[in-house]
Amino acid sequence: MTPPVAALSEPPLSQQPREDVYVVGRAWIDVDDHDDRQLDELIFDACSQALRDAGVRRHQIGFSVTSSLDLYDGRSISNALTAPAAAGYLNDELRVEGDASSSVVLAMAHLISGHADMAIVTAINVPEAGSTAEPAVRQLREHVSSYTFDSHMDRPVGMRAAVTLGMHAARRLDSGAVTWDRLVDRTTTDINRGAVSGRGRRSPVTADDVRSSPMAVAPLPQLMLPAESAGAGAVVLAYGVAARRCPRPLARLTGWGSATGQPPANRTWLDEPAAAAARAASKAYERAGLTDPSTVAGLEMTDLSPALSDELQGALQLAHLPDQAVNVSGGVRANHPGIASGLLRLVDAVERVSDGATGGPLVVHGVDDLMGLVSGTANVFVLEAS
Amino acid sequence: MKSHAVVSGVGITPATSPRRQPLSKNELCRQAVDIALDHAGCPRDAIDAVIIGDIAGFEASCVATKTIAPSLGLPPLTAVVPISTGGTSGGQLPNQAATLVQAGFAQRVLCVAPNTFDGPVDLQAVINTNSPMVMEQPLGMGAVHMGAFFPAAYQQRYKVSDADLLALSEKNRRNADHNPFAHVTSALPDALAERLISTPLRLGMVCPVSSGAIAMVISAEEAVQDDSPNPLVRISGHGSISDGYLGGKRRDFSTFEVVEILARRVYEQAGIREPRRDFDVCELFTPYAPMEYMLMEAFQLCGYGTAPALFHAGATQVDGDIPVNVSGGTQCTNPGLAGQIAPVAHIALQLMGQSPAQQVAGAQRGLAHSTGGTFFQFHTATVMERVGS
Repeated sequence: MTPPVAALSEPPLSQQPREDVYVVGRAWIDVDDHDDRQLDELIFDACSQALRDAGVRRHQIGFSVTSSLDLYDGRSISNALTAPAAAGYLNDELRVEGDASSSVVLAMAHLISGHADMAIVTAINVPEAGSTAEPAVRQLREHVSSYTFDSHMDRPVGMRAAVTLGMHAARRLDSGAVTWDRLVDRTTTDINRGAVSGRGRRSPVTADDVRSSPMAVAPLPQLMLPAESAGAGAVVLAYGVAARRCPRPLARLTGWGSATGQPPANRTWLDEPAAAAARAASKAYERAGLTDPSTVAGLEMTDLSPALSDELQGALQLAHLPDQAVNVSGGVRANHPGIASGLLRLVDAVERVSDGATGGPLVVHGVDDLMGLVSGTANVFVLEAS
Repeated sequence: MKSHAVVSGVGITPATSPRRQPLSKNELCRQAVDIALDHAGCPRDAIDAVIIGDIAGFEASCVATKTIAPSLGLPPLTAVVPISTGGTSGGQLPNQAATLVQAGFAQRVLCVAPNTFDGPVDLQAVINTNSPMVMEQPLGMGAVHMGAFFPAAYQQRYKVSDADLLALSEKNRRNADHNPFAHVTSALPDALAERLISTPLRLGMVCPVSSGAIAMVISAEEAVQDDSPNPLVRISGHGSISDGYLGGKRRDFSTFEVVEILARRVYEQAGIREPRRDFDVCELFTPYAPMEYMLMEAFQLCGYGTAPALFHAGATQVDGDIPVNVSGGTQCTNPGLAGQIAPVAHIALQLMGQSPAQQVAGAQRGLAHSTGGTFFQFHTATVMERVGS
């Protein structure tokens, strides 16, 4: 018999002092087949650019955390290769095998706990697949995804990330919760937005292109799946005075929250795939003192399927946002660099906030997609102008 | 609420070899978690976050965290963080948990260190893929060879004999005799222990491939101080460090140079001024026994080249003035992640006065360490002290 938990005496998150964490530098590198840089060279370049963007030097970084995965990188303990390039040499360092948004949370913890004044978060998704073309990257990632599912119960029946997206989309369509035309429209808009913004990795498409795209996992054609891509990026975070003394703090991180979704054996993942995002958002808004989510001006989210988009937006309490305020550079159907995707979404949002024309806070949602809609750790951030 | 981070519960499962292990990875982790939560007096729904480690490149599945977490019986939507830094993954778990607590992100964090080595048929071949594939793998460089570089250089520089190294490994096996969770004990026949593996390493100096799991509960001190069933152990200093990737970056193989930098940092955090006087007990991650001498020196427990003399004088024995690896250490039990977190777990139990191995009388403050990566690129350190000491 375990004793009851001690009553916690601290005030609600919304009544605690807001933390003083800023994004002070960012960088993103798209990688294609013509790029002959190795993993560590890409990481080094991303970090160097982010540090230059922040106007700080490497020795000012007190903590380095990287999101990457051995099986994508084609070597065991791949962070041994990349840590020194990620400002980790002779430094406090860490690697997270999950979406970069989880790394951001840990970096924030190091800043807020006082272990460091500045931290760098890097993420790399350049799968060793012989090509960085979307089909090759997807094939490897789906293969690795299969290895992530339970070897006795799930793998033998073919479970992998894309399968969860197909099952979910079929259910949403069958129940009438979403229409096929809505999926086509959302996909077309996202891809074309990405093509215009310069962030996208897919060429412009028409609705007919989307409809006639080869079937990937019924009912989703290939163009409705995330635009699997290769890339690397970095953001520099800083606390308090150290941040405000940077030449140009880009955005303030006022709220954050994390939660992990249901596993395959719990069928609620199919009914409520955005439950973790909803939990994470509640925590983030409470920390940010955001009592009225209708004041949020924009959203960058990791909606892995167009059948999830409206559901996820609702779970984030942001259903009021018009389509043009969501994923303005196209989101995952324009560019989805796997484990680094959350960092790209953050970079997109930081650039919007730093431009100063948002008219309110932005929300960023990242989630690891190794198992598609199941068992993913969702992280939600609230970004405000610095 | 920001708070000091304390160890409030520890759960260890007995170790055996992977082929004799009757439990699955999920079952072992569940068992360790059950023990740790019970030890902490912590119900499952009080856990705010779970940090689980693995080494995807060494295992038979990808990111084992994903399949382990659902087996732990935690409330839906509990945040899970997968960490992987090779041989320091286990040491990172309590350190990162402490950071989350110290930042006010969580009140109670569960750390789960699974058995890492149960999947591969030929583990050594898998581990060898860790060495740099362009520069060092073509030379036939494997994990044991990397482990031999350091004691070979140490012997040459300080004129340490093979007998000095053998005696150290015998001390640890005798310590393991008293640890119910140890894998290899003094029952190891001399003929096997003395078999040469890679000069100067002999089989008895090299860790076994073990199977077992460890879980720990790291809590906010204010949240548990009134009703903890155990004396609380505060994590007063922690950190990690990375050296360069290639072996050539090490400069001097007769010492773990970067550990000296790491030690200065964590000692500053924890207020350690004279390590040998300030620490009552140390658990150092030593998959190869001679590393114990070298790490004692890098952690400034004694001068460079003087650790063998300290050992022969009995100072590192359980009743000495600076007991080291009283559990028998990694040399006797290495289940991967669980082996890496084991130094933290054993020090915490020593400081609670609840060591399952030999108890160091009156232990108030201790040091735990882990290391890994190619040529021991990564190191972590955790300084703990009994609250109220």
